[in-house]
Amino acid sequence: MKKEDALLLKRLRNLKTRHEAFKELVSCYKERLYWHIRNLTKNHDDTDDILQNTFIKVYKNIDKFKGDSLLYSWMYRIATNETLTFLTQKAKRLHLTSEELQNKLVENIESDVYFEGDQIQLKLQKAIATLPQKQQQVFNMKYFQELKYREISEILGTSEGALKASYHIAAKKIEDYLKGN
Amino acid sequence: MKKNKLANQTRSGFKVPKNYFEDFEAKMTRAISADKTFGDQYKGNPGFTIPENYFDSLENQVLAKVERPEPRGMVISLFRKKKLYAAAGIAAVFIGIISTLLFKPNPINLLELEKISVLEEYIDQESIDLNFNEITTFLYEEGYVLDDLDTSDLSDEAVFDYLNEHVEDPALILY
Repeated sequence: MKKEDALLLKRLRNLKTRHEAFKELVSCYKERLYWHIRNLTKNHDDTDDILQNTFIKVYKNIDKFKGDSLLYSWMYRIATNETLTFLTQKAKRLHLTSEELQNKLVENIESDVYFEGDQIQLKLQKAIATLPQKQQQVFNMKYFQELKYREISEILGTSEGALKASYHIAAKKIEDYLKGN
Repeated sequence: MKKNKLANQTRSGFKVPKNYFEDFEAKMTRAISADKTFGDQYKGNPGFTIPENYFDSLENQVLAKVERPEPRGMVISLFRKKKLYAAAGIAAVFIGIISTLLFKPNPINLLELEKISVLEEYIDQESIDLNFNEITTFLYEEGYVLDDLDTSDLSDEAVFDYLNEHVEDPALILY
């Protein structure tokens, strides 16, 4: 565990310093986690709900964090699980398969006031929606969040080699989609 | 070849627009950028935006949620519950009476009487606070008058057993 993480954890576990330490934690990770979630949900309101739930879970479970991994990768894992659970529930609620939900999410982007991308960026989102879930995650984390394979490996619990292969396949599929559409 | 060359014919005859080569690099760069469909052009930029100042208040919003006291369990008034039991008890008694005495031509089923006795016990323990006048009025108003009850289908033995078992003061039983 990093020294800064250890110090922050110590303060988070102390009732007297918890408030300020948690504020710091949110401040430090809010944007990174936001974009991680947003790239999967595509929608700001859903992202806001999931992000807040993620931080609430972090707060409630901070005592259970053993320090086996980095604090940020632990938080990323919570955010990922929260997002995937949210999307599964949303698909169930709308009586859609996960593929149909992905298409719906992308369709909604076009009328979303919080999307200012051009036609190619929109096409890129459509292409990403055609990928299997794991490839989507890897592609988003590498291409949009520009995380290192080592970091993605810690978050997703997949080997770096497998991640490189996954990203390569995802990028190839996207390229083919863009050329064909 | 040189022999066939026309005099003063040193150029191909084609012309290029003025300053064409001067802007060439800039034009090429723009063209490559525009032609790019997938590569590094959109790296780190999915095109999504966020509401203005969204991140400014996030810490306080989250803190307000996590530090909010846990909601206590719902308090259910004992009196409300008592009323509910009373209503259910009354309903059950009348359903029991009607179904066993009025509509059943068969002798009283002792099992049914057992159920009624539970309800009676409930009433005896003053869980239902109704006085005699209230019950009488209710019976008359609702038409559940038992004076006209045809008891010919009730066997004496069953009635005796029931009274013997349920009436606390045996002196009240008139043989």
